[in-house]
Amino acid sequence: MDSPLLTAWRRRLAEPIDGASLAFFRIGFGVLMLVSVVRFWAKGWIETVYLEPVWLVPYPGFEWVTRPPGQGLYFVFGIIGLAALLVAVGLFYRVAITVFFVAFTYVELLEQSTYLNHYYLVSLLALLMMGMPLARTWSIEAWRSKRAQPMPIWCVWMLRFQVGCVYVFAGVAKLNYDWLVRAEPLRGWLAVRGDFPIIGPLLALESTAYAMSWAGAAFDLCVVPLLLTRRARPYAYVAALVFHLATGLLFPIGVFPWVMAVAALVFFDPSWPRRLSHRLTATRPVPHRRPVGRAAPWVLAGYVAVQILLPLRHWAYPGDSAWTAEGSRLAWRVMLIEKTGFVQFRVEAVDGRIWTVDPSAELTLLQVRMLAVEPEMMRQYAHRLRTRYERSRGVRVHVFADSYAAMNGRRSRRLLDPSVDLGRVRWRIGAADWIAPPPPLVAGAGPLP
Amino acid sequence: MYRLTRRDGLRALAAALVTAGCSTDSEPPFDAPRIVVRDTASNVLLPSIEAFGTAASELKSRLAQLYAAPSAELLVVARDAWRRCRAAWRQTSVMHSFGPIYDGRLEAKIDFWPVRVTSVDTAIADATADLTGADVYAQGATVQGLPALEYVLFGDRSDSEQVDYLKTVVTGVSPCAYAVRVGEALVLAARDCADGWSTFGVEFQRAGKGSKVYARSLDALNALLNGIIAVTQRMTDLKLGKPLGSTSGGTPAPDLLESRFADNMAADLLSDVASVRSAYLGRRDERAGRGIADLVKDRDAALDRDVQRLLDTADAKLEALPRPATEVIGSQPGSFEVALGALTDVRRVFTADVVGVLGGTVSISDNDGD
Repeated sequence: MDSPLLTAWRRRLAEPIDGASLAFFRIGFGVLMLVSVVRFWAKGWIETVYLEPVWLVPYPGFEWVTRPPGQGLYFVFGIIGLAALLVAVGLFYRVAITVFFVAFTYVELLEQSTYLNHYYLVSLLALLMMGMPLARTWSIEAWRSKRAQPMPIWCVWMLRFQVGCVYVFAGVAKLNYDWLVRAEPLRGWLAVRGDFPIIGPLLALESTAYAMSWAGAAFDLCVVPLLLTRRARPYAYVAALVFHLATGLLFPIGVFPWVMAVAALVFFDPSWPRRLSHRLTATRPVPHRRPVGRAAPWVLAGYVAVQILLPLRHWAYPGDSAWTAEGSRLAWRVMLIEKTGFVQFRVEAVDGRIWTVDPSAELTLLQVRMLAVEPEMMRQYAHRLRTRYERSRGVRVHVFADSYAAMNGRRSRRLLDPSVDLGRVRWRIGAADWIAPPPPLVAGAGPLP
Repeated sequence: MYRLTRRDGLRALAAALVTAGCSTDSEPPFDAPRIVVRDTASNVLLPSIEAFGTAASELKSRLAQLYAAPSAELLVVARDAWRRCRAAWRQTSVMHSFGPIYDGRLEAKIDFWPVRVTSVDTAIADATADLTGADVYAQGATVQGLPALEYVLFGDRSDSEQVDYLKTVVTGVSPCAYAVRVGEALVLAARDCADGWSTFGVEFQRAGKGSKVYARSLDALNALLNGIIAVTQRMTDLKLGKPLGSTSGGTPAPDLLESRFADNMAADLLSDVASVRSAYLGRRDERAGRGIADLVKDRDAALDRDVQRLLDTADAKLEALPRPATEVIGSQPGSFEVALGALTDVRRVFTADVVGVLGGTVSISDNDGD
């Protein structure tokens, strides 16, 4: 027996709304994902990112996720593209969005070095969409059934929550010394963009970096409350468009600005597309009193809790997560660091033989670049080296890393403890004691050795 | 009360742009990366390619002289020309990982390493009198280029024995006659480098200003930085690391030493460092302009001093290497390890620090964004 409160919640979550806005979101999402697949394919990234590497760096716990044989990954991308198209047109929607989520997330789990927050966002949005009846309006399914039905209000609020998380946690993450006091990493990025058309000279100014850093933080922190305020909403959305357009022009961030531009529209009234054009057919809300399932409030609450706790988990780790990378993924810590590194591995056999291994001998440029600044990826690679050398040489080996990283314009310094046998360090959820302390806050860390 | 109009706003924006575009002596120009790319191309890259072409032509002439009248004196002259050509080639090292030399796979034709002596011996034995430089150039990388010439000119014989070897025809043609053709092939390779760069160089210099290759000056700057890093990587991993035993469990492998017949390994690496230094400073010989060093100095003057100090240290350690390298690398590996450490420091400072302060990347994918 439900408590009266829970029953009320179940009814409230099921409250019908005009499906126009959510249908627009579904169409926009599907089209952008299709464009993204075509773009990825056309740029040859399926080959260079996933097929060329002799080894893909797995996520801890997902070592079992492997590449399909041969050129099978092209087939997988084809499936993702087809699923995205079906989502956009609203045909076999539930199957299509489920296939999209599984296939897209599978590809993302293949390789750590390709981790991007916006790919994670796409997976989350697809996961949410799996539970949403988004094909009830402006879809082939609705057209074939000759009727368009309203959608439950929880759909729009969950999407608002998810999109809001990106902005809010990105804004909170910007409240740090480097971003606010040193205007890094924007200062470094903008300093070399003086040739940008028309505004290039302004971008090269240090004051511009400060202005953009503070404005960026303020935007991320304020845009969600403003989007939730009816009178401020149009202005906030225009600001969001300008913001995403600017970042899209200045930085190579692919389709992400467009994804956010489409996603942020869910903050408007659910019937905004219909109001925009009276000729479009959409469903007006009709009485619809059947509450959502008993488990639904709990599932949704659990999802919300996880999405709030994950971005905060880096506080549970000692040190600066920008340096250690602990708790920095799945946390909307976007564009916060410019980190470059250098690493060589030393494989020492118990019989005295020593090999120096440069990961660039077998990994791709992208993998090496990411591995050199990500302690966890270095640990994974050390395990690979240990296995390989112990098998091929028939002797027990220890694997050490000589790694240096420079962050946000500071000098490089050791990233990992060089005396730790990384080949025997196991992954654990707690803090890694083999990561060296972060650099001091002030710029420069003394002369190089 | 005065109301701000749209025109006032436009005026203010124009004024801001003009103000931002005018730099004082203490401030870097707003388009500093573009100037660096332009200056480095004009003052370092293109002259380096030109110098290599000149040195290759000179080597070809000396080989022809030697062929006409083989003698110990002319052998010395030819060997000196080889060393000069070798130095000129290696002073183009930062250009080997991008542009025409990379796209045209010209490096293999000029500097295939390690030399395959059996391939060269076979090529000499199979050669006919009507063999031309173009024929050699059309063949595989293992039978031509500077390493093949080094083997023929230096070998592992005494000087007088080497002269005898050069003019003796066993089968095919004499080694000296073959060397002349390899010299001609080298000139063809140098010409392809120069021709490629005469076109590509224009696009490189116009990076960010209508270039068809580099839409942004930052892209060309990244290519240059990655070129520098590629040189430092090859020095540490291959040219010095492998002979020291990095891939053989720590046992030195003298056969993997570069230019081992001429005992020119240290000079080769010094030329590599010179290439890195020129590309970093944007300065070669008397030609000087803005270089990557100026960009680094604008962000972190101490880092620039450290980079130059580390380059000087690498030079000193390489110059201090005992010789002949093939004989001492096994018995006195310490000096070589010290030199390797100095070169690794150079590699680290460019890979982590210089790239870091310049916002350069080696990424091929989208960055994260919000």
